[in-house]
Amino acid sequence: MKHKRAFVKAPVVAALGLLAGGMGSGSIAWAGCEPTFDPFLSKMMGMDVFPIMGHPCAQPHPGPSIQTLSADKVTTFVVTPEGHFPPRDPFADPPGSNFLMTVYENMKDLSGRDMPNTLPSTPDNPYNLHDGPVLTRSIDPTNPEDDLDMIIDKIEAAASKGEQGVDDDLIEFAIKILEGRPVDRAYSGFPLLHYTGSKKVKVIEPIFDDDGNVVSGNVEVNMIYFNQHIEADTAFLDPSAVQEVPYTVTYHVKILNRGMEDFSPMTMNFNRMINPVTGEDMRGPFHASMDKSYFPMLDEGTEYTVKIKENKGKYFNLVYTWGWRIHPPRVQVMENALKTAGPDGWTLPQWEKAAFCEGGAEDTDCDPVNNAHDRAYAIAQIGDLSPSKRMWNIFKSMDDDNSSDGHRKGKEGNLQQVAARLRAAYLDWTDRTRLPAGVEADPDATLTLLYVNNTIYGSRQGMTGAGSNLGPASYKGIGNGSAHDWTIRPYDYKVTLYNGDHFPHGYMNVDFGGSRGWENHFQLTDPATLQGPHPDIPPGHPAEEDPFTNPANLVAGADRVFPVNRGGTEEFLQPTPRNLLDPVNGSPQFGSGCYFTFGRNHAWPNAGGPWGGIMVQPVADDGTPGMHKVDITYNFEPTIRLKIYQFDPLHHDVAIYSLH
Amino acid sequence: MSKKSCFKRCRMRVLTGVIACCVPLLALAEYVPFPGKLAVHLLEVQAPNIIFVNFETWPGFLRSVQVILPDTAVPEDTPQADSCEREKAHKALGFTQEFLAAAKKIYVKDMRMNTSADEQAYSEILTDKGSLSQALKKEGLARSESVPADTSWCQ
Repeated sequence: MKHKRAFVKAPVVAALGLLAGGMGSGSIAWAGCEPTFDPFLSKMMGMDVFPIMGHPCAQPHPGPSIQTLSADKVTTFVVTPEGHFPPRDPFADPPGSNFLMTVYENMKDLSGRDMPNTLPSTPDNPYNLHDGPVLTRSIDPTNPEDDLDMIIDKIEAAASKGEQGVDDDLIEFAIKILEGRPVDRAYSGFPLLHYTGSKKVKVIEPIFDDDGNVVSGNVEVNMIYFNQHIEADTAFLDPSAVQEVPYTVTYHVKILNRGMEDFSPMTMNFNRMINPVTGEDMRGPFHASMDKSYFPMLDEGTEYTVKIKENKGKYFNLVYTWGWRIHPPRVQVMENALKTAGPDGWTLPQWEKAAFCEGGAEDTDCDPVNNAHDRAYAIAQIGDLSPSKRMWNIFKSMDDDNSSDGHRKGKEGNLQQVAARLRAAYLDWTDRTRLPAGVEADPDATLTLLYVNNTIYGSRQGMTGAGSNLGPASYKGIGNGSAHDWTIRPYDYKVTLYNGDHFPHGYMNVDFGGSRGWENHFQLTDPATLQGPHPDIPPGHPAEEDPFTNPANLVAGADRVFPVNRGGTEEFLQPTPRNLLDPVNGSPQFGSGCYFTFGRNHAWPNAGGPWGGIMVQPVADDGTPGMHKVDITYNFEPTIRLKIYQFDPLHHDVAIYSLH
Repeated sequence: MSKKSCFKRCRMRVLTGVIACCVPLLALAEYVPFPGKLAVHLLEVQAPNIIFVNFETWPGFLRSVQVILPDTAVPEDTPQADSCEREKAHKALGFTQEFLAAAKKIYVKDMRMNTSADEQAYSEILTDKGSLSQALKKEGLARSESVPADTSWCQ
């Protein structure tokens, strides 16, 4: 059915005028922005609308994907709309047709209103959205993996000596680590079992001027980085008090052992517009997302405090904090606590309660962090296929005098078996780029994913680059998850989803700029790729020597923005990116930044979410995981940066598994 | 008859024809892409058993959909209908318009579609005053589709 021009109440002129409300009449022009008829929004509104579009305003909206369900209800088929850029393989012919040249202006919304703090990096200020210098302090670098390894080492040692058990304190320590209870470590309070989502809600506190007006806001967020993990104490931000003002997020990032990384919190924005009929300021579909920083955090045993400037709260959708060096596994998300999803209009924190609180979504006093009964209920909701839950089950059994499963120390004399099971579970837990014991990959799928412990394990892994037969090393990080075959439209992607948890999980698949376009902003933090004069290199610095001074390795033209491998360390061309005179906040050194990050990328949902819920039912009583399949036909080219983003939209936090 | 009401009637006749050919296919739809009870905003009453609404399928993503009441046959205002049926058709349209205008909240529930991108769907229309379908049937302005089509509306 065509949209109903017949019952349009407001003429186009009025629609345009209202859309552009709040602007001077002569100001509807920035870079490539202009009033444009948008079929998607027109259909959405049931009338013709002409929002302000272009770059750095909104890119065209591709329209809905078409989802259908197979007759046996096992498979959801999805066909995406055609991308609006011409077909072009971005790997064979970089950067691809979907690359947008950088515009050094803030973004604008659909009514042409400025969106503050949406220009992440400029030639004058590579870290344009840092609010003040980065602060550091030394911390204990020991990570939970170190301690669990140490504990299992001791159990193995005791077992090899023929002993019957180990110190009770050691077992209690392991349980506390898994549950996130207080321990004498920098990581204290960060559980490895993901059952505390309902308690990970933080309010952005308003800041007032002398007249009592809200002028800003701030929220403190704590994070730990180690091996494949980024864990945060915040999964939801409540922006209620800062809807009309910009605010800041102060991140305290603890880099533990094997946690060095570049700080890349990527804020995703909703677009907004003045409703052409009612004149109200209304939320629209996705606007651009952007990495707000690309700051190297390379000293393990250091807490970095980074204050990031954010847009007005009314535009806030979510923040992804990527760990591009070990991705897909390293990523964490803070969602907007006010967002609702699925049947019955639950907020996202209510979905956490529905999964982990005995009283369900409306439970008002559920406290799995501080109440032992609530904690026991919540942990029981995590499936036993989870490697961390397997460890927890064994440790709990060892800690229980009445355990009948033979794990109790000194009772059965089977410590060797206990140690072997613990080690297997531990090794499964350390790598979520392969499926843990008990789950086999679907041979007919491109990828098999297992939801368990409120996170996602994937079935593929491997290094990329020459000789690997797994595709080019044309992206940053370890290639533990890739959709190598997708270079040009169409691409058929089949994912088989298993659910090992005792609550339903959802599935959503989002594109970050392949269909609508993307910018590369943080090349400015990498002087090797910067167009124009390079910064001074200190005398005696290795950058003054071969291979960097070898003319054969010099890069010119477009490759300065998208450099090829020049024979040195591929990603970081220098042993240290640090300015030797000011190791923390000095201008970064040669090769310290990223080839290409998410500058501003115009996201669009591919599957699930607005095009229809995709659910995976919980594990059955007999232990059989719930299962659903999704078959997506992509009709556009991916970005070079990231091809497929997929996650649980009802339990986002660390339930994410993306492919490059 | 005013020009306005003539326009409405004519449009309704065309709609009825369009719907008549679409309904059988849609009636087979079993896919529920947006499960549960969803609050919707009324855009237009297109027929006593057909309304045009929009709603947020996901934060920021509005959809406009024509919703057809399942198992709800209504009298038709067509030249082939007898005067009694045409009068009832007129009453039914007014009833639906007033029923929905008086509602504080309007919902659809477990809307069935062939594909998630369809612009037509089958669903109950629920309000704080109750179900539209049941209210129409109670007033004798609608009946189950299992009733033979040639059964008079005025008996």
